[in-house]
Amino acid sequence: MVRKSKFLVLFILLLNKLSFGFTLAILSAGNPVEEYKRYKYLSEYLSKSINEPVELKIIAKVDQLLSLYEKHKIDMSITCPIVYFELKDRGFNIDAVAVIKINGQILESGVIVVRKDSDIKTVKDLRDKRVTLGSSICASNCVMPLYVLSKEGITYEDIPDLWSSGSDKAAILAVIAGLADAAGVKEESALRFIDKGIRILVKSPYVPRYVVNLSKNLPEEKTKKIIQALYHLNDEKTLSELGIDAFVPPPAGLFDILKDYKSILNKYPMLR
Amino acid sequence: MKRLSIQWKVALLTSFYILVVLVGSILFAVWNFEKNLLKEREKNTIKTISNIVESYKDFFIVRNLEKIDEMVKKISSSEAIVKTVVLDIDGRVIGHTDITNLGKFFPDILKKFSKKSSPFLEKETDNTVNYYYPVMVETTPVGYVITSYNKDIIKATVDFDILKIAIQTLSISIFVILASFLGTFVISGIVIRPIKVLKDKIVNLASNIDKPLKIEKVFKPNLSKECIKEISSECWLSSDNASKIMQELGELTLRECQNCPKYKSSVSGEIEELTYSFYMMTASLKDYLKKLEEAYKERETLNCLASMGEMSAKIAHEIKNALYAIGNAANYLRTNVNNPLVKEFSTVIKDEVNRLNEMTVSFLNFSKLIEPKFEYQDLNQAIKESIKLLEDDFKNENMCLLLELDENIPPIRFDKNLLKQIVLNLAINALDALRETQKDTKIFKIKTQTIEKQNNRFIQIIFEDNGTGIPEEIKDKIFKPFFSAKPKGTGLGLPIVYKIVYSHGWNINLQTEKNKGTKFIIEIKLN
Repeated sequence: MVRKSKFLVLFILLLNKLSFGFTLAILSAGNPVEEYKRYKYLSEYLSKSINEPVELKIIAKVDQLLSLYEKHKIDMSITCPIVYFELKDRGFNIDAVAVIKINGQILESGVIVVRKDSDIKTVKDLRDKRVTLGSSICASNCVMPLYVLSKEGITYEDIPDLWSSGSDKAAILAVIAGLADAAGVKEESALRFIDKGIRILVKSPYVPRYVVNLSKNLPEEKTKKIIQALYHLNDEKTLSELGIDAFVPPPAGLFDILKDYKSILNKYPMLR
Repeated sequence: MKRLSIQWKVALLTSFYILVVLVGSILFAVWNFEKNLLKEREKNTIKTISNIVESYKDFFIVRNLEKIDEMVKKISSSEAIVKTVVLDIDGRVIGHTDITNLGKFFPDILKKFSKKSSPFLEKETDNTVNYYYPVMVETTPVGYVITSYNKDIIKATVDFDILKIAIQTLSISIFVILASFLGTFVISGIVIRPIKVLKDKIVNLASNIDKPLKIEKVFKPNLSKECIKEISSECWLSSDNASKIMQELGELTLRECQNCPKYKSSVSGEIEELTYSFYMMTASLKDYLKKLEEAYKERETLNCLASMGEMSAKIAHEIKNALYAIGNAANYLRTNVNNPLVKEFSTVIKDEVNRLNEMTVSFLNFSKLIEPKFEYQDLNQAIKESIKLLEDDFKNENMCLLLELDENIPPIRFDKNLLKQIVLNLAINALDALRETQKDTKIFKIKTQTIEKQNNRFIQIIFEDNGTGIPEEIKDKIFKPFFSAKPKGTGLGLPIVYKIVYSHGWNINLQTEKNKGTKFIIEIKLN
C-alpha cells in the first residue's frame, strides 16, 4: 500500500514537472508588464533551443523568489548580483552561468548624486542629511552607494533620514525637488538627469549588472544546451527586444567586490 | 454644353448638382460642428486632467516623484497642454513639465487655492487658460496641479480632425459623384434610347413618307383585342395587324384612341406614351397626306374639267346657234313643203334639235360657276316647297312620296334655289329608278334628322327609294359628268348635285343595294 502511494506521489511529481517544463524567473526591477514583454522573447528563444516549453515568471519581490527556490520551482533566474549571493548563501544549488552585457559593458557602478546648487561637496558632508536610495536591494543603486558611505565611515547612525524611493528616477527627482539631499543610484540613471539640476558627488567601484542563475539540478545535457543557447544568442531582433548586447560567461573574480556585501548592509540594518 | 447629347448633359448636370449639394452640406456641417466640437474638446481636456490627477492621488501621499512625473507626462501628452506644475502642500514644485523647475516654491499659487477649494479655470492670456486642481483627500489637500492649455492648439486639433473628416467625406463624395455620373449616364442612356429610336423613325418617316406604316411588334399582347370605341374591328394595341389597323384608322387614332380608357389604362410611362403617340401621329399624318393627295388630284381634275367646261360652253353656245337655225329650217320645210316624206324627216330633225338644245342648255348650266347665296332659313320648308313641283308626277305614276322631316332642326345657312336643284335632281332619279322596278309599292322618302357623331352634331337629309338600286360597277362613276345609265340621260344631274353639295361645304354619301333601293345622305355639320 505504502509502495503504491510512493509510486503515485512520484507519478504526480513527474506529471507536475512535465506539465510546467522549464521555468525562467525574472526578478523585476521596473514595470512588470514591460519586463514580461522583454523576456517573452528570451523564453521563446530558449523554448526553441531546448525543445520544450519554457514558463516565464516575473517576480516583483525577492522574498517571493526565495520562496519559489525553496519549492524547487525555478530552473533559471536572472537577478542582480546581490540576489545571486543571497541565493548562494541560502544554499540553493545554483550557478552563475552568464552575465548580461549592455552598451558593451557587463559592469556598472553606483553613484551618489546631489543638487547642482547643493553645498554638499564631499561624502563626509552627507552626515545628518536626507539620503534616498533607488532600490532597496540591488548592487549598483543600493549596495554600492552604501559601500561608498561605509568606506568613509558613515553608518546609519550618521544618516538618520535614509529611505528607499523604489526606483532610481524617483530618488533623483526627490533630490531635484529638494525632498532629499542626496540619492544613491545607478551611474547610468544619474547620467540621464545630469543636465536637469544634479551632479555626481561620488562614484562606487564596478559590479556585474545582471546574473543568469541556472539550477545545478538540471541534467548535464540540458544545462549544456541552455548555456550554449545563451552564449550563441545573436538574433538582433531578440537582443534588441531584450535591450541587451549579449549573454557572456562571467569572468573569474567578477563577484569578489560583493563578497562582503552583508557586512556593508549590516551597517544599515533598516535596509536588511 | 449645347453640343453635348442629352445623355452627357443629364450625367454632367446630375453630377454637378450632387457635387454642389455635397460640398454645401460638408461646409455647413464643418461650420456648425467646429464650435460645438471646440467646447467639447475643452471640456474633455479638463475632464481628462482631473481623471489623471485622481488616479495618481496615492503618489501625492507617498511622495513618489517618479509616478508624479509619469502623471505630468500623461497630462502633457495632450497637444493642447502647454505646461503642468505639481505642488506639494508647502508650495514646492514636485512635478513639472520641465523637471529643472522641481524644488521651486510658488506661495502665490497656494494663495489662489486657499480661496477656492474646488477646481477652477483662470484665463492667463487670450489663448492660454490655467486649470487649477487641488488634490484632495476628503477635505484635506495633499497637493495641487496647475495645467495650462492653449485654446488655439485645441482649435487647431479640432480643425485638423474636421479636415480629416472632410477629406474622408470628400473622398466618399468624389466616389458618389463618379458613381452617380456613371449611373446617370447609363440610366439616361436607357431612358433616351426609345427617344433615339423615335428620332431614327422620324428621320426614316421623312424619307419614306409615301410608304405604308410599319410597326414591328405587338405592343400589348396580353390586352383584350376588342376595340371599346368601336372604330375598328380590333384594338391595334393588342393586334398582330397594328400597322394595318392604324393605317385604316388614320386621324381617328389621334382623335379617338388618345381619349380611350383602355389606352389610358394600359399605357405606362411617358416614353411608352410618346412611342404610341408617334405611331398615332404617323398614322394620322399618312391619312392626311393621302387625303391631301386625293384632294390635289380632285382639284387637278376639276381644273381640267373647268377648262374643258369653259371651252365646251363656247362650243355649246355655237352649237345652240346652229341648232336654232337648223330647227327653224326644219320648221320651214315642214310647214311649206307638202311632201309627206319631207314632213316626216323635218319632224325628226326638229325633235333631235330640241333634244340637243335641251342637252346643250343643261351642259351650259353645269359649266357655270356655282356661287351660292347663303341665308339662314328653314331647311324642311325649303324641301317641302321643292318637292311640291313633282308631287303630281309621283301621284300619276302611283308612287308613294313620303316626307319625314324633323321639326327640331334649327335654321341653317344655304341657297334655297340650289337646294331645290338637289331635291329635284334626286327626286327625278328616284322616279326613273321606281319606274323600272316591278314592286307593288313604290316609295320615295325624304327624311331630315339630327345626329351626333364623333362629338359633332350633323343634320342629315336622306333621299331614299326602294327602286332597282345602282349596280356596284357604276357606283364610283355616277357623280362624274356625262356618265348616265339612262338611255336619254345627260349625265349631268348627279354631278350638279355633287357640285352644289360641295359648294355648301356639305358631304354626300351613297348607299345602294341591287333590287332593294338607293339612299343618298347629305350631311351638314352644325357649328
